[in-house]
Amino acid sequence: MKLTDTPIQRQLLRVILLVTGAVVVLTCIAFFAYDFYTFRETTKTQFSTLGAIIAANSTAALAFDDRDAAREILDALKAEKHLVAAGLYDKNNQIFSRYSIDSTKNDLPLEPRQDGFQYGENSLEGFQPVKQGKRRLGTLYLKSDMKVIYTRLQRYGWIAFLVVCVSFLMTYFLSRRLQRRVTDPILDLANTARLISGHHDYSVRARSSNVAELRQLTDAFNHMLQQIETQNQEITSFNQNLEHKVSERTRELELAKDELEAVNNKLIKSNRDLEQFAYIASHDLQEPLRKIRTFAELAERNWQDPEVAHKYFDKITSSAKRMSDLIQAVLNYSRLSKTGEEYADIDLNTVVENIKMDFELLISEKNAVIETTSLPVVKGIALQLHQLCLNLISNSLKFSEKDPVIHITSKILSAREIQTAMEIDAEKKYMALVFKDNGIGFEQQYADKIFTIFQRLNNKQDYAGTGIGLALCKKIVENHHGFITVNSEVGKGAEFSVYLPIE
Amino acid sequence: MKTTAKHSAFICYPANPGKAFAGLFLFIFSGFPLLLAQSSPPKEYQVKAVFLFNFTQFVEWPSTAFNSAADPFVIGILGEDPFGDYIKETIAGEQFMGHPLVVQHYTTAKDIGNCHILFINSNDPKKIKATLSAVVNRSILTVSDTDNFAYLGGMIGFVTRDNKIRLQIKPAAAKDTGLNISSKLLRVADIID
Repeated sequence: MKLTDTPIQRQLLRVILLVTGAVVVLTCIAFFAYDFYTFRETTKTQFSTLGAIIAANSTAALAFDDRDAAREILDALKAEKHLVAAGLYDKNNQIFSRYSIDSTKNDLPLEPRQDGFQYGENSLEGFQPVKQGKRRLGTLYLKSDMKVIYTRLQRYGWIAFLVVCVSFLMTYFLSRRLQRRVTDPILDLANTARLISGHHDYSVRARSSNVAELRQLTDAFNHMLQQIETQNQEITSFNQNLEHKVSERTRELELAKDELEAVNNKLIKSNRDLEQFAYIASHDLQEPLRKIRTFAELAERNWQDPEVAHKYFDKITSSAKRMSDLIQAVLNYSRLSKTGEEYADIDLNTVVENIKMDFELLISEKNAVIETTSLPVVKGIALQLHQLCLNLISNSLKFSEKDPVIHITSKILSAREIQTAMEIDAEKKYMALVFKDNGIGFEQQYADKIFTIFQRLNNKQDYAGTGIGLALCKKIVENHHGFITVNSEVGKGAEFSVYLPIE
Repeated sequence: MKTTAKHSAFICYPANPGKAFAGLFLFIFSGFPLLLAQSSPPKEYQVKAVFLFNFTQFVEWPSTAFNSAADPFVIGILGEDPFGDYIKETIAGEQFMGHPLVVQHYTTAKDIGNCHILFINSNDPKKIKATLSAVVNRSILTVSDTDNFAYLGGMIGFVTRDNKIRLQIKPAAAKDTGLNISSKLLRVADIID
């Protein structure tokens, strides 16, 4: 395992255990060595004291050659467990008496050596002079094995072992508890850092510790978090602002685009209208002009004959008048394009009544019938709505072979009830104004064509007209944000439906 | 001196086969002291001479026993001297508390002068009693190898037992005269009340 992978708790524990172990072991060794040395010396001193006592007691036995007494004295040494051998030499260095308790071990040197006690290889032995007063009566020999020291060493070893074990255990358990004071805040800090890096939650704060350096660390960490959080908030709000601005700009752009598109559509439409207008004008307006030129040439050629000339001049006048009508109609049409007139409440009943009065002569001439139900009041431009109704009624009166019968009805519909290809506002309600006649009708396939300016389905000879009436109607309805449709069949009349939005 | 010690070693080790005969010999004739005294080699008296000297090591004499510092320490022998020259050899050059050791010989009890150890060489109980009464109340350590000497009122008697010379001591007799016998000496002796 790498050093960096060891948790701090184990590191600390290891350090503490190592230090404690080293201290305890060193202490034990020191005590052990001191005691060993001291004990050796003490044992030696005790042994020589014992020797001195035995020697003092042995004087009379030596002096009066009493071996029994000497043996008795030596045998008293049996209390000394570790005594291996003991003996007395007389003043001629001959063995006088020997310790007889365990004679198997009792091997005495043949002659005494130098006085004093020494540690041998596996024993403590020595010679003690036996003196009475100043007279030397003999020599005492004592020998002890090292068991006393070994026993003590063994006991000491066990104690040291126990002390080390107990210290280790105590250190282990104590340090496990105590080190938490240091490690818990660090682990807590590490956990907090992990949480933060995992969840990106910068509102979390590390708990403070009672260890000064750790508290500084925690405080610094928390301060850093605070800064990050503040900066995050700033960035977020900045982003939101940016997004808001972008969406605002986008909306503005979309609006502008919509407006542009609308304007563009209008432009395209008016461009188409203009093209159509130019085409038709060039066609239809040239026809009376050509007639005028032709009849003017004919009149010039026949100027000697006033009658014929007059007939041609009449034709020229009629063509000029027709051209004047055409120009007037075109003017009317183009005038409709200009908006800005105020909307007002207009009673359609009144409008229809006024038209009936206008056409009073024609109606009676054609023996026509105009039936109306109760019509509503709508918001609109009075003149235009009048023109709309006038054109539609005039159409019905004009394109008829028998006595014309015209029904004018109205109803209110929701946008969903209307089946049409036109784009309409689904939220609004519409008022449908229906003009139904019993005229000549036309093929349904021309339904769109008839609303185009100067478009005629029938010839001028049979049916008078400028070819601009229905185009005007369409334009008026569109000015009022509505639309116009037609259903027809040849010989079975036509049904015009005008849809106008109501509030 | 060396020869004495070697002889004593002979006595001490009857187990030694070479010397066993001598031990047996002593044992057989132990019941006949007179015969033993007359016919025994001087070894026995050599030991006794050394013992006499050794008493100076284990007995304390009162200061009144000496008139002056120059007074000798006297070992007196009453009757025939069984030690010969050996006793003189033993004590030659020796001192007791600064007092030189000397040997004096007395023929009768009346002759006994200022002495400290008195060896009574006699087998006559009457004579012994008379001698003891003559030195009563004097600081004299009385020693004899006659039978039952301690029972007769003497202080230390030599007895031979198991081929060894043993001591019989009557401490009360010694104490009465101001002598103090060491407990170490008492330990190796038979105490007679």
